[in-house]
Amino acid sequence: MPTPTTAFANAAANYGEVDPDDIEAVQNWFAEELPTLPVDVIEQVIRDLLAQDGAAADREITPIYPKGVPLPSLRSSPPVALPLLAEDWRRLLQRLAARLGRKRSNE
Amino acid sequence: MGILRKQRGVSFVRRAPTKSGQDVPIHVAKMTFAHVRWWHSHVQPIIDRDPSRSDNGWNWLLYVPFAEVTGTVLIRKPVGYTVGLTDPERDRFVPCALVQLLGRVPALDDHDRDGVFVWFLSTAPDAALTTVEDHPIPVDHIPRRLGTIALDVAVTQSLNERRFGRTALYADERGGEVLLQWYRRRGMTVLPDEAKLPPGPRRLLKPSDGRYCYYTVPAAVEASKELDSLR
Repeated sequence: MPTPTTAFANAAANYGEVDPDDIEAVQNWFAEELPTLPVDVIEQVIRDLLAQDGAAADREITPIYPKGVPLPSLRSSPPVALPLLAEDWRRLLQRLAARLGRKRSNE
Repeated sequence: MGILRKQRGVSFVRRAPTKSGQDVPIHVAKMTFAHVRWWHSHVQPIIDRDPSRSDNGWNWLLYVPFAEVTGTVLIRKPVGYTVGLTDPERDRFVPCALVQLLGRVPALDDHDRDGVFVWFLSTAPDAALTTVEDHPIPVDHIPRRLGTIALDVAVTQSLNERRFGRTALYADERGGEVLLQWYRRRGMTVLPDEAKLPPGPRRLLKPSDGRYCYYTVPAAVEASKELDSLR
């Protein structure tokens, strides 16, 4: 069980003066405000939340599900490409060396 | 084959089996806010009706930014992926599973090496996919093995980022022994509860209690090979 939503809400209230019962404001705070805070504050928030990993919620927060959200488009969700790996780099460097070698021998 | 896989990496799964016997096209995309928002609007409400699910009550709109900021501050290379059904004709991507990873975490079986940690993983219940507004998926076209495919996303990331398949996760307590058995059947090893976690906040804040699972390098390669027919 991950850190309960109430712990996220309490953190947003403690560090961001957000109404902990307004789950949308809490979500916005984590998405927009938290990344802009000083690193030591962020570290404290992380510690607070990780410490409550698996803890039971101290109260109930009614989730708010956004309405009318469209399906994502395929164009904006392209497949992840395979990264260049050791073997690819080796081949690239070999090709480059071969090309340079040919160039030198032509000169 | 194992050496090649470790040196050259491996592509993500591109097909999923279905009840009809025919595979359906899927792909793995970088998780976006649009995926998470759609999930929270349509899939999570259905998950939340089932108290037996480990992901009941989850809120990806909180987890994703939190994982991003945590991973960045702790230099853990966070990355999120979405497994989705693809419909090129209608330009639609239907998220079927979300996976939030930390890409650089000390491995559970070798603290001097890095591995991938699966922080959050969730798959869409059938009822969520058959009721997509304007785009319902027929029952016999619902992708199967979504949990295995989502776990493979983590293993693939590990192989492709030169973590050699080392992958770990924490099996949610609510999943009980059934969930642990499921991970064992996928080839994972359960870390004994007396074992020490690698140095880091988790060692102190969430010590081993017999629910951390991990892939060794050979087990990850074997698990990866098992899905080759779907790549």
